[in-house]
Amino acid sequence: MRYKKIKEILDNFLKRVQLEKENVNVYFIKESPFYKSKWKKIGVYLDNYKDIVLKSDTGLELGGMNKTSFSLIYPIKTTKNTINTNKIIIIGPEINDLNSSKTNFGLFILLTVKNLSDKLFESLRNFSFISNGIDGFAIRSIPRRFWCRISQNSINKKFSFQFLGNAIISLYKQKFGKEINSIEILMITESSKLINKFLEHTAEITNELNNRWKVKVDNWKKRIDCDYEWACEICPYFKSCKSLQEILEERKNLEI
Amino acid sequence: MKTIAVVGKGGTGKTAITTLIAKVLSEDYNYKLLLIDADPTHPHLSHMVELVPQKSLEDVRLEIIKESMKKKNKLVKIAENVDFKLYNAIEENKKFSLLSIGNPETAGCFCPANSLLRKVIESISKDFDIVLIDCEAGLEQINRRVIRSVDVILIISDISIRSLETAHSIKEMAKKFTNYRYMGLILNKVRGNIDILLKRINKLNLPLLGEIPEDETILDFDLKGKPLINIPTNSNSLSPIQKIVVKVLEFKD
Repeated sequence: MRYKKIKEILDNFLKRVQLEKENVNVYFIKESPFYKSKWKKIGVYLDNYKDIVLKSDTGLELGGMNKTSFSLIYPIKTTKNTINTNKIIIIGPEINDLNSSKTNFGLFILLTVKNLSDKLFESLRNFSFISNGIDGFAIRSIPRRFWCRISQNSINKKFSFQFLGNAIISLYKQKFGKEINSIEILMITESSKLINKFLEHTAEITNELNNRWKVKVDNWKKRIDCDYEWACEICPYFKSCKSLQEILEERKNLEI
Repeated sequence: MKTIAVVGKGGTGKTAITTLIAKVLSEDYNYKLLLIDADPTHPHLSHMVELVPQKSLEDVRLEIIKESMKKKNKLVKIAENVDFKLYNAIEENKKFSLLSIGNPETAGCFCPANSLLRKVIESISKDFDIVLIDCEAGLEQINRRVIRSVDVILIISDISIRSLETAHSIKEMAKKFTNYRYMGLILNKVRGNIDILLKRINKLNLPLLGEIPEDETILDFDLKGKPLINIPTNSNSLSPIQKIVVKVLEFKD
């Protein structure tokens, strides 16, 4: 899929949401070091914050088991002529306006890069460096869904979604430097309805990612061990096995 | 991410060595560490590191099987929740996280369930720098149930010839069942003259990573049932463990 097409899909979604008078905030990001910013009390540095945020220290949980969530990172190659700006879009309330310590959350990151190899594509889509790079912030890797904890201590230091967007941009720049042209981050907070709408609206983008990794998924099918060498007709556990295989297939499809 | 499996004959001190390695890794280094208590018959690691999980991998496995048979939820929902369920089975403290395999209570072949869980463990492991597994004697579970690829295998032996022979068998099994990239031997509970043993080790073609002396403090902790993770830093066994950890970390992926 081309950059222009993705932008069109995202812009259309944004227009639709604005028409419906949802709370939308857009920030254009100038790159300045964090120690000079208004969030200088919260550390942002690669591999510097690997501490586990324990349940008892958690101030806010984004996504998780019983919440609606998604995370999508889409790296795409762009030409020199494409106008690229770092941008953060937040749809929904900011952290201090949330009504609960657990909230629905969606995160979409569009990365434009100069050159895109398979290896770079994988590295760009790996979240762990973000988790290890922000003080009091820990992401748990769940395919396609999202789950993270923000410590109460960091919330007290004015951790906000706007800060999170800035921190993600800073960490991508720290790790990948000049390979990245621009970063656009879209967050949907609180509303499960809006998250589902977004997923519906951007199905074309998700399908694109699905197709890209279909070969990987197919290879995965060959990796189920079986004591009966797949002689299912003699296996006494056929019924439960078949049922679990279906779950396994679903799980594989999620891992995009 | 580096996966380290600690194996050896029963009674050689696998769990104690795993605990000491965990202590060094968590106190001297800045690594995100996941411990896996993979000994279903003697799940003592959690007690030794003072972090006892509420749920085991076995509990999660049974839950998934039950849900899939009842078909109450949509398949995609069950599949999505497997990762969350497994994460909820991980117990955490500020130093490390721990997942316990648990003791299988039901018989039968649930290969797809195992396969599914192995896949999820592999996925979750990406969140950690080091995964340290305290295994049961034998390597089959590493290959079939827990994790397919192990980077480093540490074989623990005491100063008996039988224990060393087991180490040799494990080495041969590891070649067949795992894709390990580095393997070493740790001699535990060492006392007196062990020259005969060292000659034997030379013939095994297995690098000796270190010798842990018999440690009165460990014996005392064992006797009183105290968590070994709290062993004083000046204990005799910690210095050789620190050197072993340096060697293991020097091994590059």
